[in-house]
Amino acid sequence: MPGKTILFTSGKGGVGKTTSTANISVALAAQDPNINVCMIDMDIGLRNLDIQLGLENRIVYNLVDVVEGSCKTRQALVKDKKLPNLALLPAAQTRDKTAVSPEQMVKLVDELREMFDLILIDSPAGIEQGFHNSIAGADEAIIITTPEMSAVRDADRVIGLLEAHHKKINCWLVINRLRGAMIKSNDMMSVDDVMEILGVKLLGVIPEDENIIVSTNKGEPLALSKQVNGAGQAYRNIAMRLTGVEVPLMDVFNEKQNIIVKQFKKLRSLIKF
Amino acid sequence: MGLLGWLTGPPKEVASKDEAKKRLQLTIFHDRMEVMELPPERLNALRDELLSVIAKYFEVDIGRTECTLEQDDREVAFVANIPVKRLRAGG
Ligand SMILES: Nc1ncnc2c1ncn2[C@@H]1O[C@H](COP(=O)(O)OP(=O)(O)O)[C@@H](O)[C@H]1O
Ligand SMILES: [Mg+2]
Repeated sequence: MPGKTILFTSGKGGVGKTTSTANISVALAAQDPNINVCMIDMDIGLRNLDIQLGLENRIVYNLVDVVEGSCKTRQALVKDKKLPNLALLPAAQTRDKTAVSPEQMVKLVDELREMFDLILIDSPAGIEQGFHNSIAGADEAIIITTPEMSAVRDADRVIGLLEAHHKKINCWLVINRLRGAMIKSNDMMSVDDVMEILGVKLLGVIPEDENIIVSTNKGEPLALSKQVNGAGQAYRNIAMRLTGVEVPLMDVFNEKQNIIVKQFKKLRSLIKF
Repeated sequence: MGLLGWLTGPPKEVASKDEAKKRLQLTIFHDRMEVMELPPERLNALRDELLSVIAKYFEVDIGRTECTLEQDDREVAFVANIPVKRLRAGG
């Protein structure tokens, strides 16, 4: 059966598309060694997915090389360090979004469908050419937003474009960087507030988590850590839902455990055990 | 501040997220309208054209006619409320 493609998009930049693509991809691959997963970095000119996965030193060819016929598709695919069933098709760093067309993307994605079960596409910010290239080969879309006004507004715009697209792409929502304490004090919109405004199906919620920075520093996606709370678990939950497993929504108010863990770490660093 | 004020503390401000939600709902409504390319002048033109057609069949109460765009979930609906006085004789 040809593979399915899932687009990660948002309109606004910096809301967590690349981080989510990397983490959900590794979670999917780790969850089942029989599922072959491929990531496509569509942010031509601003390559970043490679860094998140610690694969930045292994890139030889890129997406534009494949499209222009300078190399075979297989030659450009970078295998993950840990997961043999995960690969990355990196973006070109020295070109721009006009280097490929939507038609070329459809062709490329169709070729990848024969090699992989799931193809996750990380789209660039904006709604111009890069966006149109990204949606050309997409079967479904995950809209990433944060509970902030401009992110939600841009998400609405993108959902409108996806629904108006001739393929009527199915949209799912992921709300990132939720802060339980701020929601409690009514200084941040809650999951329900955002849902009420956007009116699309919810796929998952991701808490604000500083461990994301640490894991990016190391080039090891947080979803692979043993963390049982926080963003790592949230990404694993989303991966499970994508493969049809029902998982309850993460409680972003559950910060008590995090505080206990933090205190424990502090104590440990003080008495060095 | 009186004794009561002292007991209850300073007046509560509107929660900032409620403000964000209200502003956002309105902004998004207007964004959607703009994307649908229907500015207010066009809406009025639509109402007049609609009334001229309906007036062929009914005698309508133009003064009480209301045309609005209503928003629910992900859809904006054009809602026309046109009170009818009587049926016009068939032509
Ligand atoms: N849940 C989170 N908690 C904390 N920081 C996050 C979270 N998600 C994303 N970030 C941070 O936000 C920044 C932008 O994320 P990125 O995935 O590059 O966004 P995009 O691809 O949408 O531009 C990064 O520095 C990342 O570490
Ligand atoms: Mg990105």
